[in-house]
Amino acid sequence: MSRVAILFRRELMAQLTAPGTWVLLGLSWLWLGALFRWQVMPSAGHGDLQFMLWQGTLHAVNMQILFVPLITMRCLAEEKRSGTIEMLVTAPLADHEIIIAKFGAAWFVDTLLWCVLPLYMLVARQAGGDPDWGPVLAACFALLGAGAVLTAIGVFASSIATNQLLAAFVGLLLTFGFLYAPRLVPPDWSFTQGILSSGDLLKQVEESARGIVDLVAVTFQVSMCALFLLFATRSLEARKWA
Amino acid sequence: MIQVENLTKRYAGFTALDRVSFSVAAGTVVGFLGANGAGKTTMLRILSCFMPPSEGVARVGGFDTVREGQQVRRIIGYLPESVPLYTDMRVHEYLHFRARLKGVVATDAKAAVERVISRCRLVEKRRNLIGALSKGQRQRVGIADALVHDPRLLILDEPTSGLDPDQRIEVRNLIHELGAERTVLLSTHILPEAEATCSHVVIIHRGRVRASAATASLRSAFGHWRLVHSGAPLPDAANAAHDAHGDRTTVRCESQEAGAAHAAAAVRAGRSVMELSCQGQTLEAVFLEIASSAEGAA
Repeated sequence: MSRVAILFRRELMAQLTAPGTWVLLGLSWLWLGALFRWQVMPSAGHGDLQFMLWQGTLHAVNMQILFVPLITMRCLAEEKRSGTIEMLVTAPLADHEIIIAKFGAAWFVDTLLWCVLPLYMLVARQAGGDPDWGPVLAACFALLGAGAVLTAIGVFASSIATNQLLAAFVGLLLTFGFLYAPRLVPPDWSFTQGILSSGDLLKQVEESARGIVDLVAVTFQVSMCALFLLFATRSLEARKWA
Repeated sequence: MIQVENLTKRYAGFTALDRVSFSVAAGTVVGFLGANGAGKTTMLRILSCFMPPSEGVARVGGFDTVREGQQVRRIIGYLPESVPLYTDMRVHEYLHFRARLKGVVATDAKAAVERVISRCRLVEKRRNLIGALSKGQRQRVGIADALVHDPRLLILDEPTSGLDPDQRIEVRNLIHELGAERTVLLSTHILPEAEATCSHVVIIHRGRVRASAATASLRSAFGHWRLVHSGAPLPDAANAAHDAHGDRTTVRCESQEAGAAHAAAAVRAGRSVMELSCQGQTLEAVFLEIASSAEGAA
């Protein structure tokens, strides 16, 4: 097993044995469950599973804005506060290996937040519905991509802070800004809006939930994820040049 | 095992290490001595590849700490001053995780963990959560972690800092045992600790190496010579520090030459010389003398 896999396993165990993680998972499952039961079902009618999927996917993304920074806040901020980062770096682990392992574990937990969504489609099918599995798969794929970007942003926020709460706060601001900046620009700023709308993560997820998988969107998500992980690695390396 | 040449480390507006050079031979226990803020931790962090130097070269086991950091990390075991550990893990789980992270293959990891648990006297604590251990026990877990991949060089930053006297003796004895089979570099500002443990010392003050030698020779170099001869003090010894007691006189001489000259004069005066010996200084006195002369020169 590679060193990244060993650290990933340790990180995942640490995340899954932390009570806070289960509080977040419980809240997110309740959130999506309540949405399914009281909002989507009555408004869309029993048969409109496509609308249910679209609504559920958007709620899952919005939920991630709030919860991902809480999952990622301890990743590096806590290691730096307690000094265990010194033990990891000299283990020997390269800085990018630490970032990848921590990102992987946080992304896994992030996926658990919304993994109940496809289950609801199964429930709906049991209840007599006929879900179109193409859009369901596309929505899952989009949520994975959006989750990866938001998790990378959270890991970066954790890498620049030495305090978990500060890391969560910075992560929240960054994820909120990343998702909603394209929609907060006044319509008459056409040039700025043109640039920002090409990176509108919410729009990309919405379209995926309708069954449209756009290669440009996937490339954008992979690029953003890699960019923020690179920033996090550089931030971790900053100790060398202090 | 360690060669440091003209190594400088600058933080923003502050020089922590200034053209430091020293070497450590394999198989020795070396004390890196200095007051708080002297640059000890910075030096150990550079040797453990946690950070690079601003200038100069440090080699460990023949590998450059900047260009061949991964090779260096494989042959060292490092214990930082604050003994950072994952407090949510059990002792054996943590050591197993660390062993695997340090490249011990899965089939050997269990045996390696058992070996260091036994070595560091943690057998009864192996299933305890690290967060529930005392400071001394955590220190031993930290040393076990540094040892688990059987490194050639052990780097320990203030390993007895903050321990009570019993725990300090326990850790000191452990370091003494470990020094018999590998090179150990430990930093400390508790000088009697270094005196009891280290065969060699490197004294650092305000970022510069002020002395680097075998502990015994350093103590002798800063010591004085004692001459004991029979009878009353010699007439020309009135200015020398002496102590007449019964039918013998003890004279303190600042150098070996002064002692020999005084002994010759005593023989010429018909006294019999009973002893001419070097009285070593304590390491603490040596350190204070070096530090004060460095302050005077600054």
